[in-house]
Formats: sequence, structure tokens, C-alpha cells
Amino acid sequence: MIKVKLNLISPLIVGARNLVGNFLTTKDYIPGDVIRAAIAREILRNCPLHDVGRPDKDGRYNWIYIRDGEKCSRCKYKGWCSNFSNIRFYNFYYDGARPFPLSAMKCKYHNDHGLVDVLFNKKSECPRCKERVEFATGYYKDGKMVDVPKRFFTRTAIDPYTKTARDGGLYSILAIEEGSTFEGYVDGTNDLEEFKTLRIGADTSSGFGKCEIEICSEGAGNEVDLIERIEKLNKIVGKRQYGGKTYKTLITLDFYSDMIPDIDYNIPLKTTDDYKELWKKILNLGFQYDVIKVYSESNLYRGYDTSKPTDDMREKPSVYIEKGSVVLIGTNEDIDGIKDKLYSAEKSGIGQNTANGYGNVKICDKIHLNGGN
Amino acid sequence: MFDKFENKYIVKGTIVALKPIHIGKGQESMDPTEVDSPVIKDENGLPLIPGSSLKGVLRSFVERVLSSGAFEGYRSCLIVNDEPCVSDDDVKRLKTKYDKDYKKIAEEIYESSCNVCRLFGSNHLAAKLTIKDLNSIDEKTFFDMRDGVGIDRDTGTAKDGKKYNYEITPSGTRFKLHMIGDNLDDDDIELLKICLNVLKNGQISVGGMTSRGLGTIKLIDEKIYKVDKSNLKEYVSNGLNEEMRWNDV
Repeated sequence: MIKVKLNLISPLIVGARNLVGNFLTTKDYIPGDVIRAAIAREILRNCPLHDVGRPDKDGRYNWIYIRDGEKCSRCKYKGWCSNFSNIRFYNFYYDGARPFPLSAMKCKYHNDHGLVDVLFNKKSECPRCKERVEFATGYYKDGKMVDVPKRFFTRTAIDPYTKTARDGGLYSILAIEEGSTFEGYVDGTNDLEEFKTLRIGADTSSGFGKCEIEICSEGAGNEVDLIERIEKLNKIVGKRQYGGKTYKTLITLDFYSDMIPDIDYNIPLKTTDDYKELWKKILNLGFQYDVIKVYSESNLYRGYDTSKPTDDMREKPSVYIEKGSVVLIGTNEDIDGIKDKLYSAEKSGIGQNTANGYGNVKICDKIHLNGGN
Repeated sequence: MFDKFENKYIVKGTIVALKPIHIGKGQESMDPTEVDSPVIKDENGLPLIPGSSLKGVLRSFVERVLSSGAFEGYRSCLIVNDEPCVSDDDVKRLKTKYDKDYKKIAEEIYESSCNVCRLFGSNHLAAKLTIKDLNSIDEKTFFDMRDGVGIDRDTGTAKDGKKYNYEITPSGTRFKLHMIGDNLDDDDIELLKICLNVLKNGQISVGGMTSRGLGTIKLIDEKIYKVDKSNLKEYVSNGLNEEMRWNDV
């Protein structure tokens, strides 16, 4: 796994959405699939064998694969093309911040007063000024909320006949400012040096989305680290009784990215226990455990699939669990017996489309080990 | 209409100030030692005639000339006096009538526009005539300063507190003219000729205080080029050359 920095040379628009009328705003992070698309486009742009109108053997357009064994063997991108679907692109966040955990609260009056993790802590007051606290969304780094810098661009369409502004052609874009840095991980390749600069996101042909790639170092935790975290969390929590049951081990799961559950949603839900059972199916960790607490929000997601042959490239809408969600589970199994499964969940992610950054989960995140501070 | 290239007339030449020019910067300086009303200057501190100053003077001149009735078949409106040839309401009606048929809307706007609006532009139609800012071609300019004072009508002496001064660009200063006409038809060419002739004859004054002796300019050393379909390829490949010269003024 390589830690990568993207230094924005020009402003960036990612997943622009119409807020109201003619006002477009960007996402404040770069999803893994946007990085994958940018790299795919760069590879295809340099591929002399790529024919825009010709699909692969499965009918997919713009697909990355070895087109000709002999010719491709001389190409600098051959490593990418032979393995592209297995490379995992994580979400990239501004300045290496993480999504604010939904189980935490922040000071109502000061963004830099740290947070209170209410997963185990019943005290709900600011740890520094003792003022009121509130739940929040956004990004968090080094004890404070992080704001992604953005700025406006206003543009208009010009009528080609009169050369005046076209009626209804005025629109504004709220884009991420150039000079910002985003950090994330790419897993499954070491050939990122091939790409010095990339064009990422939308409106790349009119000046947006140019960034430099900076490879930092090998990153992410290992198995020993995971077990240490679990042991430390359980030592801090001490009493492990919930709902009349005492658990041998408590485990937290922090979602660092959105997660698309791999389940059938057509289930009638009535009680809290029904929801807990649903979450067990969603997590599907492969050992015996109970879901104790869930701090989560869900939303509807609909992306585009540019490998589709039709004009309508929209994907089917699906429910996704928002980044920052936190789940607390309890188990009576030995850590040694379940560590491989937990490690696998952390390494491969949970739910669908994990290769594109979805379902990135951190087990016993340090934010719960010391109340977030 | 601008969607297709028909022709392009390019006027290059030198504007020389026959009289000093005062085109004010529009704001007082914070520097107490500077004059009350400084002139506009470019980034190198040299004088500048904004394209809008010259274009405005030419437009109002052409409007007055055409309104006189001396030029039969030409129309002129008073665009800044709430009597435009194409009003906002007219355009709203056209947009309702033709929905998103932008070409049809543009054709109707063009048909209804007077000759002046067609050449100099309006809110609903871009100008065919473009005048770039006129930068000085002199290496250095020594700006002059004039004093003025208000006279008390009762005593005939200077009125207390009515002393003022203003900066002037001296006469003889030379500016580079770059004027472009896009897709001009015969009527537009006639109006362009009027503009060039009055400039060449020194009948135009720009800037402020023109009733107090300032602002007269003259066009000299002009070169006019005509680009049409016959030499367009040459123009877009290699730019202007002497074979494109147009000497019909």
C-alpha cells in the first residue's frame, strides 16, 4: 500500500451537484473511483491500440486490459493494464484529515477544542472549556475540525449569433482551491511514478483538476498493530456489559469512507433489534458477535459507469452508509481466532465496490482509545 | 450575425493628441501631494486612452449625424435615453415567441436594431466594431498640471475654496490605434468610413474638459486591412500582410 499526496495545481471539481438552480458545488473529498477514472483516462489517452468505439470481449467500453500481448509488453503502463481491476484506490481527504466520527461530539463554540467520544463516555461537555457540545460532520485532524478551502467561479454561455450572454446561461461553480493537498492510499501497485501529473474530476478541459502526484511512503497498519489496538481499547473500557450480556471483547469499526452494503434491502424493519440484525448482515465479519451500538447515516448514491455502451451511463441508485459511521460490536471469541477475519475486513473493506475506496474500515481506531484527544 | 465568418476589417494607425488630453482616473489619490484629478495611466505609468472613451465618442458622433436625416436610409436610436431600438421587453417577447430557437431570436433582434446598434452593439447584440485600449507609443511622457479656480459672480474674484487642479497628457503624445470590424455589411462600412474620416480630419475630441480646449486627436499613418474568404487561410496562418491592404476610405 502506497501513501499518495495529490497537490492541486488548478482548482478541482469532483462529483458536482446542483444545489439550487444554476449553482454547482464540488464534493470536499476525492473518491477512489475518481482517481481510478483519471488514471484510466491517462492510460487510454496514451494507448495507440485504444479504439473509442470498440468494446472489449464483454461489451465494455473504455476498459483497461492487455490488448495485444506482444505490443503491450513494450508499454510503460503494462503493469497497470494487467492488474487494473485488482488495484484498490482509497478515498483522498484534504490534508490527510479523516471524516469526523459520528459517535463523537465537538465543542459548540470552538472548532479546535478537540472532541468528546460518546461511544463509551457519557460526559457531554467540551473537554477544554466545559461548554456545550454538538454532533458534527466534516473532517478532523490533530484535535480540530478541518475546512476544505473553496472558491467561486461564475461563468456564462455566449449566444453564437449575437455574441451576448445567453439567456439562462449564467452559472456558478464552487470548486476546491488550487494549492490544496489531498492524501490517500493506493493498494496493489508500485508503479505510480509513471504519472507525474493527472487531470482529476470534472471540467478538466477548461482548466480544472490538474494535480501533481507525490508518493510519500509505505503506509497502513499491520496485524500486530491491530491486536494491540483491540487490547488497548478493551483495557480502557474495562466493564464490557451491554443489554444484560458481558462480552469478552469489544471492537469498534470506524468507516473512513462511504460504504455500499452488499445486502437485500427489502426487509421489513420494526425494532432496534431488527436493525442490529441488519447491521450484522451488512458487516458480515464471519464470526459470532452482537452489534451493540451504531452511529450512522445513510443516503442514496448514483454514479456513472463509462464502460456502458448506451448514452445513459447512470448506474442504478443504491443506499450507502456515510463515511464517519461508527459501529460497536461485542464478541466472546478469542482474538487469535478472529484476527485474520478482522485484518481481512480492514485490508479489503466491507460491502460493495471496495476497490474504489468504498467500505474502508478501521478497527479500534485510536480516536476511541483516548476519547479522541 | 457572428456565427459565420464573412469579413474582418482591421485598422492600425497612430492617434496623435493635437491638444492636451484629460481622461480622469475617476478617483482621488490617497497621496495628498498628487493632483485633485489625475489622468488614467497604464502599468508603466504611460498615458492611456481606454477603448471605451474613443468608442463612446465615435458612437455618439455617428448617432448625431444619422439622427440629422442627412443620411437617407440609416436609422439611429438613443440607447442611453431609454429609447433603444430593441428594448428588454421586445427581447422578452421574442424569447417567448421563439422559445429556444436562438438563431431566429438573433435574426429578429438584428433586424430591429438600428444601424448604430448593429455596428457599436447594444445590450442584446454584441458590437461589430472593437476598439482596443490605446497605449502610448512614446518612451516617456511628461505630464502637465493645470490649475483652475471658480470665480465669485458678485465680486469677480476667486471664490474661496474653489481652487482645483488637474493633470493633462501633453499635446503631441502618440497612441497606438487598433480597431477591428467583424462581418461588416455595406451600411456598416459606410459608418466605419465616417468614423475614420472624422478621426483623420481631427474632428474628434476625447476625455474631459473638451469645451475648455482639451482632447482633440487625429489619426495619422493609418493602415487598413480587409480579410475575407479569399485571404482568410493566409490570415489565420501567417497574419496580416501588405496584400490585404484596403484603401477604400
